[in-house]
Amino acid sequence: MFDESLIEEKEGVNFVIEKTNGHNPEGQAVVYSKWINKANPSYDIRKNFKHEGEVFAGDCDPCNDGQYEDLPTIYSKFNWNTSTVLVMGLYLGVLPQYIMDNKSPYVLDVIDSDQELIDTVTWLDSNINVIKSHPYAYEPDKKYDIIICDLWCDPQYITESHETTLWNTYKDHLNANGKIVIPVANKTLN
Amino acid sequence: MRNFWSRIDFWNTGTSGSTSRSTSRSTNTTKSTTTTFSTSKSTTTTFSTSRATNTTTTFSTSKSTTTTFSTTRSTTTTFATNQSTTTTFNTSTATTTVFSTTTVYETSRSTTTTFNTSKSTTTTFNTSTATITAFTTTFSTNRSTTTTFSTSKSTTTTFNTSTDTTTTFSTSKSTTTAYTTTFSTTRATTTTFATTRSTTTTFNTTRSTTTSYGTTVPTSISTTTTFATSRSTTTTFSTQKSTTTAYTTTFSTTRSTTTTYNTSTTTTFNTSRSTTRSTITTFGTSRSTTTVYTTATVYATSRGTSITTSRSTNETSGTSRGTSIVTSRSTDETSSTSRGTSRGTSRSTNETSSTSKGTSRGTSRSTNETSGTSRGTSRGTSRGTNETSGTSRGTNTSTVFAANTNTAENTSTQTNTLTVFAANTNTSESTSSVTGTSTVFTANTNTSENTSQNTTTNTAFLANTNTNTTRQTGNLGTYFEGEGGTVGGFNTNRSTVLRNTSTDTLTNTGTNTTGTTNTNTTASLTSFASTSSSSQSFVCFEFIANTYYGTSVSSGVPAVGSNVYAQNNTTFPLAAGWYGATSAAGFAPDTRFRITGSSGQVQTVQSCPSGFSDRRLKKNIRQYGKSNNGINIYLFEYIDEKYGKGVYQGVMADEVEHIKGAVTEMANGYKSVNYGIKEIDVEFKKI
Repeated sequence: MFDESLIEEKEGVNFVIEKTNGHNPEGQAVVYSKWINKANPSYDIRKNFKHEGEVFAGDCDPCNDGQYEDLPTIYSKFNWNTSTVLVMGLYLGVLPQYIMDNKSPYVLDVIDSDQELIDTVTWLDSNINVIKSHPYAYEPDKKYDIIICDLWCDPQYITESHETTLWNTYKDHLNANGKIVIPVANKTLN
Repeated sequence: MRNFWSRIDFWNTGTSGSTSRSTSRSTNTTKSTTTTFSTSKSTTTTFSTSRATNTTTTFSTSKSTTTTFSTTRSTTTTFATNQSTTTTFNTSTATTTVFSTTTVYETSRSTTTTFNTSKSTTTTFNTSTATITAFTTTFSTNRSTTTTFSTSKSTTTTFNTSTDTTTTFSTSKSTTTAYTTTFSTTRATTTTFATTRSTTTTFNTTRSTTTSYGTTVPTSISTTTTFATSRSTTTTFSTQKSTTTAYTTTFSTTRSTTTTYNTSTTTTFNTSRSTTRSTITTFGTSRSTTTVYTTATVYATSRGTSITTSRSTNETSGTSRGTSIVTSRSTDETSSTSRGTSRGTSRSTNETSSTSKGTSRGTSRSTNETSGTSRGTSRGTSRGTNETSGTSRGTNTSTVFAANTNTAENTSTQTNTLTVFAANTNTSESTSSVTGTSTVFTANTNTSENTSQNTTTNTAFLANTNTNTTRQTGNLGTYFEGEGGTVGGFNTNRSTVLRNTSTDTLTNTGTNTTGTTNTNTTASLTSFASTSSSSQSFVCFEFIANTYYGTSVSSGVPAVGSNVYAQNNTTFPLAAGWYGATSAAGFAPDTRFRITGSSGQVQTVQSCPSGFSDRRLKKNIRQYGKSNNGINIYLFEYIDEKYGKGVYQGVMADEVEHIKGAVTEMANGYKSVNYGIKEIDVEFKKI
């Protein structure tokens, strides 16, 4: 995805970005960066692999794992070029960068609550607006067509309370026919 | 026909006498005697026997089969991608600096510096690509088979004894088989790429500096710097791709078979004592077969398309015709006439006429048509998958037509007419049995040595036995004996039983036996392939490139409770996280497992295509056992191969819903089974 030379290892307060020798999904031996949540290092991992953006943007159809089979249909209702898009959760920036490169949305905002991470991820496209805010506290000055909630690495972490709070926070910031998508759960909130 | 017999006898007898004698005696005697015999006899005997027997037998069999296949497939795919990016930079900087200082200088200096920079860049990309690919494939296959049997036999037997027999066999068979196969494949692909990129960059930079020095007046320095930078970038990408693919496949197969059997037998007996015999036998058999194959193929494609049409037709027809005619005729005539002068008349006439005629005609026709098509396809990949598909189709059609006519006739009006029509249709049964047995044996044993042994034995046995037996057996006989004479015959025709026995036996027996023995001095560990750790979200997309070692590893996947280690010893337990493994060959996980804690213990095992335990997603479901907990174990395949290809073992979600935590409903409405809980004692795996 990103040129590895742009990414530097860093140990932040809440996260670690480290490089690992391994294989990408295509089977090539590579050195890749991964973001690790220090609070849950064994399971909250994001890697600098293109397919992580590809899958959550609905471009993996069919995938070898059917757990995201509805995403292509969900996104097919939108014209990305004219859509205002909000992505919650920055990580290494793989998903927003994939959307910018492949979907060219009219507006692409990203919010993350970790200012240190925002300051670290300097390799994003300059047209991506990165905003520091907690997902539940963000008060956007615009309405969105697509709000992608990429806040969890495991759908089992998502509770009903999470969904209710997100809905109450953003329902008034959706354009007509707008959707709140939780890709890791292969679903929308509305 | 006319017969006439007559006989006339006629007798006329006359006698006269005269005697005269003279003597001097005067005696005078006169005697006159006149005797007249007049006998006339006329006898007319006419025998006229007429007999006419007309037998007309008509067989009319008509069979018409019309089979039409009409398949139409139309796929339209349209890609339309529009990208429009408008970036406008308007940067305007105006700086005005005014210095006002009162100083006396004897110097006057005026400097005016003006920068006018104008840069205009216009970049226009117009890229247009049009690709038109047309596929036109036309198969025109016409086959016309016309088989005409025209058999005409005319026998005219005329006996002057007024027996006239006309037997006409007119057998015609007309078979018209027309095959019309039309393959019409039209593919039109129009790909149009219209990419327009227009970049307009305009830099307008204006800098104006005015410096004024006054020596007698307070020096005024006025500096005005104006930067007006305007940058306008308009980028327009307009990409349109339209692909229209239309497949039209029309199979039109018409087969019309008309079989007409016309058998006409007319037997006329006229007996009139005429002994003229005329026999005319005409066999006219003609068969015309016209087979026309016309195939026109036009390919204009960068893709490889291979269409192979093979047709094999074997036709065997046999015609046997036997005609046996036996005619026996005996005529005895005796006449006797005696006549005595004793004026007695005696006449005796004995006439004996005996005519015996036996006619036996047999027509037997046997037609066997056998066509067989066998296709076999074998594909093998490096993953060790063998697929064998075979289709055996056998059709035996036997049609037997036999017409036997036996005619026996004598003047005593004995007539035997026997007509046999027998049509036998034999149906061949084909039994195909495929038996595959796969046995995988895995044993783990701890000893003091490291021994690895792999044994693979593949045994394939294929036996094909075809037995075709044709047997014709039949007896048809008539014995007749004529009256008034020793006239008789025995006619026997043998024909008209046809048996076809076809037995196809296909036995495939495959035995795969794999034995693996892994031994380790330090731990009972089994190696298996795995991904590196990842999030639950993406672990199933990872590449399997690592080798780990674990306890209770079955089919390449650890079980709940297994301990997994990074090396072939227990020193380095695998770190907590999600990992992917596969129970089949390849590098894509079909199973993910979660390790918790620091001991490398597996807590959860899930199938990668999670959410696909729903019965509605499966096909070829067959139960083959129960688990210790009483859960039905099934083998099945996924309807959509994107969920998994091949045969899997697992349970049905709807049958374990009562177990807490066993089933969850996915967003798409389908149900998934959590194979990680202990109540589900069935392993999900690919067979």
